[in-house]
Amino acid sequence: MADYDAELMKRAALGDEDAFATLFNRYYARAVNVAYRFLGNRDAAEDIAMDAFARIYEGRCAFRAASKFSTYLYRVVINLCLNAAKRRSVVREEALSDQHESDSQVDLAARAQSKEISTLVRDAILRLPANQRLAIVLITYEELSYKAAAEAMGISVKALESLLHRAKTNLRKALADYMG
Amino acid sequence: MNCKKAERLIVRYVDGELSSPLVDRLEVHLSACSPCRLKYEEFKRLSKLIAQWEPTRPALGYEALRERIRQRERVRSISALPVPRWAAAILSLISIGIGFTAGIRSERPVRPHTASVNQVASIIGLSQHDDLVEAAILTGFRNVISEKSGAKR
Repeated sequence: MADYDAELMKRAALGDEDAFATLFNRYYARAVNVAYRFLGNRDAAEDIAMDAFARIYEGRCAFRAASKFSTYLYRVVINLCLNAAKRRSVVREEALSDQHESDSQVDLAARAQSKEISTLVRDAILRLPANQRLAIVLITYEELSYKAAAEAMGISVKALESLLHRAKTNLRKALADYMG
Repeated sequence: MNCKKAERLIVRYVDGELSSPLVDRLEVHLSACSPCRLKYEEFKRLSKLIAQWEPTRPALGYEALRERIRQRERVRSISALPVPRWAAAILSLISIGIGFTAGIRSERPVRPHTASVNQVASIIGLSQHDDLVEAAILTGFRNVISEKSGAKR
């Protein structure tokens, strides 16, 4: 898959617009979700993901296949997120939306409870310090390996382990009442 | 393996990042140590709990990206005018300076003309040195009268 991405980037650098569109369609949702889980705001997340792809498109000729496209993308998104977080004093906002509202089969009470838990989890994660939050987002939600996450964050695997341990300890305390 | 070491490994174990020799050693420890087993269970429940934050669905697509790229190109073409940055900075400073100076000049207050003591003295036929005090008083009267008449108008 990594080779396929590198091939697509190579073709994009030679002017193949469809190749870049394919990369966009493969990774855009992931980029949005990394930013969303870091910032807690859908619009800002989408803006950052767009910006990341625009920058990658502009620098497509300089892309080196030595690094995986996904790692490269995560790095760009992470940098933009960190910059955005510096500019915004408050990271979180917006109520969880109605993503499941079309699903009429689901019991309303269960949905409300799930929504409440989702909100609690989101708030607890958004209260973490930036680096701990990033570590949790990349490992838990993006399911990256420690090595890939450390590379994307530009830190050592040991440092990542330490961040994760602190993040999970903090979350365990914050969500103690909801862990059954 | 002691509890301190086990605690450090539990998070990696839950994330599936522990190599098999360490997995074996940790599992032996967990089977014998109930506080560590409890911590392991808690971290496992935590992972399940935080996985409940649903992902978001993007609203935009590739066409929006094309528009974003075009927008960035427009901004770049404007900022890439053939004037070096240092020259643009100097020109800006000069124009600010000119504007500032012109502003000061145009805002300088125009003083109303009032007759001096000597002028009044000569008008009313007093000698310059003898009756300067009287002339000064008269000048004061004149100013008061002219202010009042100005106010009436």
